[in-house]
Amino acid sequence: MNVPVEQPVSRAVRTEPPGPGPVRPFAFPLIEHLALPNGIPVLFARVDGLPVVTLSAVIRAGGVDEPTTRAGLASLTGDLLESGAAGSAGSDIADALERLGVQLAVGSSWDFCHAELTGLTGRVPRGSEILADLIRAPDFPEPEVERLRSEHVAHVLQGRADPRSLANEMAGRYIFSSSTPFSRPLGGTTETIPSLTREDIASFHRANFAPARTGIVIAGAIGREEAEQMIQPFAEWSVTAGERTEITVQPRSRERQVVIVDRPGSVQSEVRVGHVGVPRAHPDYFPILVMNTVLGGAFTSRLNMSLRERHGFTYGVSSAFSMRRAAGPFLVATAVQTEVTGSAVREIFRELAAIREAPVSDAELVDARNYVAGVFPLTLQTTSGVASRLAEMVLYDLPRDYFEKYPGEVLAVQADEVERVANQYLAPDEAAVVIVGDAARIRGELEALELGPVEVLDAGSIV
Amino acid sequence: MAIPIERFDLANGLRVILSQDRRQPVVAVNLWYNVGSRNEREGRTGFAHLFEHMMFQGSEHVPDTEHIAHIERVGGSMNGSTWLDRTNYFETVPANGLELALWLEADRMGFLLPAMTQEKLDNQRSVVQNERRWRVDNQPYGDWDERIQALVYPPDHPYHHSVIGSMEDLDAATLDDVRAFFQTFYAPNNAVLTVCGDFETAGARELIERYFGDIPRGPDVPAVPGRTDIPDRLAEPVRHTVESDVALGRAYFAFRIPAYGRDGFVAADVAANLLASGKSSRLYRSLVRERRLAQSVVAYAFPVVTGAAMLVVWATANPGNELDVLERAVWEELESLGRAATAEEVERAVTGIESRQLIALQQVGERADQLSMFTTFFDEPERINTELDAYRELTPEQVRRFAAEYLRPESAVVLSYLPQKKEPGAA
Repeated sequence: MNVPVEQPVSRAVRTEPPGPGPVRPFAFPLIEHLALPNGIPVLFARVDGLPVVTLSAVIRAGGVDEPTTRAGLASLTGDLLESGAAGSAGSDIADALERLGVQLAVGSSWDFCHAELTGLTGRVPRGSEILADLIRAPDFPEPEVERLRSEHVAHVLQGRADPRSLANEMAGRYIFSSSTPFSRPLGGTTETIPSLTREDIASFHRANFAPARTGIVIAGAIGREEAEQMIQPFAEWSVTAGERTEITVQPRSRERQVVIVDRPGSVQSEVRVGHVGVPRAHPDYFPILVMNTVLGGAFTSRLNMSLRERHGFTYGVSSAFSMRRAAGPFLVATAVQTEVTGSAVREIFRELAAIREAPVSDAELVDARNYVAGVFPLTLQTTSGVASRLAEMVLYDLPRDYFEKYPGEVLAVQADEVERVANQYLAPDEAAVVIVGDAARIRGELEALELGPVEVLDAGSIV
Repeated sequence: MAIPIERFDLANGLRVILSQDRRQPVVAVNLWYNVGSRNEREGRTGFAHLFEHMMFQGSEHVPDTEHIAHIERVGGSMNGSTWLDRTNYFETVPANGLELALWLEADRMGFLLPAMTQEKLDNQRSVVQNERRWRVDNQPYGDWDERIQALVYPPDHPYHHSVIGSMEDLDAATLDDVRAFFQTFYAPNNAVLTVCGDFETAGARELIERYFGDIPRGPDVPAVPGRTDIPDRLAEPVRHTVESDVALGRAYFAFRIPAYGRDGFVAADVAANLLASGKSSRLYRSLVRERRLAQSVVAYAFPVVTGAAMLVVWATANPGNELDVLERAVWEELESLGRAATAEEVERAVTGIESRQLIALQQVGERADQLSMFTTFFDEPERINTELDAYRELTPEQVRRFAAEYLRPESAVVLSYLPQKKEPGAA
């Protein structure tokens, strides 16, 4: 109905921003713990709203669990789960789920493999049997192994032609020692992938996929009883797996260095500045989060305001700690116009130094805390958003009330803690600077910055 | 589905949609301006998008970059985007930030120009040119949509050029252009405001009237330039081959189709889903899984409304496969769709579309964006609740007929990317 409005009710005061209205309290959904006889932890959160539910299984079987010579094994195994299981062909699995309109997402990261179903409440339960089969009883049919192996090789070739993924891959290689898994690409290389056999894959599955390594999370508009029904297909899974060996993380070097991956003719330089960061379950998690928000974790962060809004060097720049069970990388990432590569790198180091040298201002601190605490509930509007928080609890052994307390923990961070963690966990003097760009045009200005030795690699010669 | 909708219009022509959902203390504010790259004049491609960037550079009562800072410091997320037909601006904030978000949006709708300076324009020009380098010029296949649009639409159609625009035209943009564009297109009578989420209706309405009510109506918006009334099929096929720095060959197949909102678009959308949505789709099953010619396949019907829309299929070749073998295989599948699409497949595709829509609508920001879209394009926000009916009513015969009439070699654009041949002896 269209009702024209005759008169504005009251004149707007435009000169000052309106203050916030009364706070409407936010509560993390109540988490219920369900039991399975084989000991798999099951977390369930009822999320009312549209009739949607997410069922997700996470297995501690990731890139860190593969032998050094078998880079890409976890990733290939994860992708092959939906290629056939318990006698059903991959095409039949896809067909059955798609008929239900249920979305299946399967993938592997450094720490774990996850398989997730999202769909309408009446239909996902019918998919849970299939999900359990993929995890318990994948068939790894030889033709599919062959097909996905070549698909993964093709993916590596694609990544090599893409300056962004090439920069990420090389950053890993120059940040971590070659004995640390994070130094190699999670997906493997053109040398390792072709050597992965069906037997490698099957034995990786046998060694790592078991109830003791698994957690199940459910979030959606269903009751506890329906949730209990959905996990039944996992009840009779009773194999055992060995304990996981925790990895040790070593930097490649403690000397700062610059590496240019030469791509003649590039109109932009992909820049990565990074070093070894911190693990996820870390006592300084919240101060680190707030510190990084001020540095490069929001649009109005120092890095973005400098490189983008003041200088116009880039479309955007960000910094992040990739927190894994072990310490992943801290990385500043951006793409800048070739002509300003040296200036941009200099500004990045200026900001890395500044946040260590002086405390952040009260305004910066308050804004960053409010931002991190405020956007947290926004990630919980969807069932898959809630499910991924539950999975985080399982994977990183977080306490039961962790997410209830999350916003409060963020808001309690103090300026002296920010300064302390900036000094403790940012190490600009030990950073690797990796740049994919036109070496002939950028080498001189990078050398002039005197950051450390400058090495130039031919993009085509990287293996 | 029943998304609640309350609509009212302000005297200045601003259309307002309210959709309440109080389950979580978050609220989305979303504005669509009925202006996109289609409205750009010759020599100013990319300007609608550059202008969108200027909307984040402050307004009379909001200093420089404070717009974004205000949203971030209340714990909100925000952005804007420019597309062929429209430009949108949106933020999701904790419920108690609603008034702030409305104040910010009203200030840039009513009072942008006093804050515009040459310095800001030069800075954002540089940011946007870097966006172009990042998205288009330094990315494998990055210029595909620019090339496809130029081949699918004639030079005098406003979709002939890309949203990002050319470097030269971006260089040519002036502050006078900013002023004229604002005065022409950024007025309440050319916009839709949607508020979705946790608010109290009477209060929200009062705030909207207070902040937007006295922004003056603008002049009538000029017609979209050029010739928009074009046939929804190409008169003859077009082929184009690009050698570039890509690792794998890829072929794009593009077809004009009926514009979004017209008869035939729903059939096109479902056909695209039958072709490449999910692993049970025709192209995936045949070209990726069984014949292993392709590494990946995509098909998408672009929901654009001016004259004719387009459906694009693309397939990336596996290493060692010749692109022309892949191309022939795609044609076999397109031809087979016109003969043999089954009721079961259509049912599966529609079920998938329905699920994805419900999953997406869990977010108040998505709901608000769709309500703004349906109001801007069709003046019918209620379509958010009824659009799926048209999908459920679609018959397999309609899908087959669509494929047979539209997805034909005689009216196709085929754009192929081939890996650059390295010179002998070069590394």
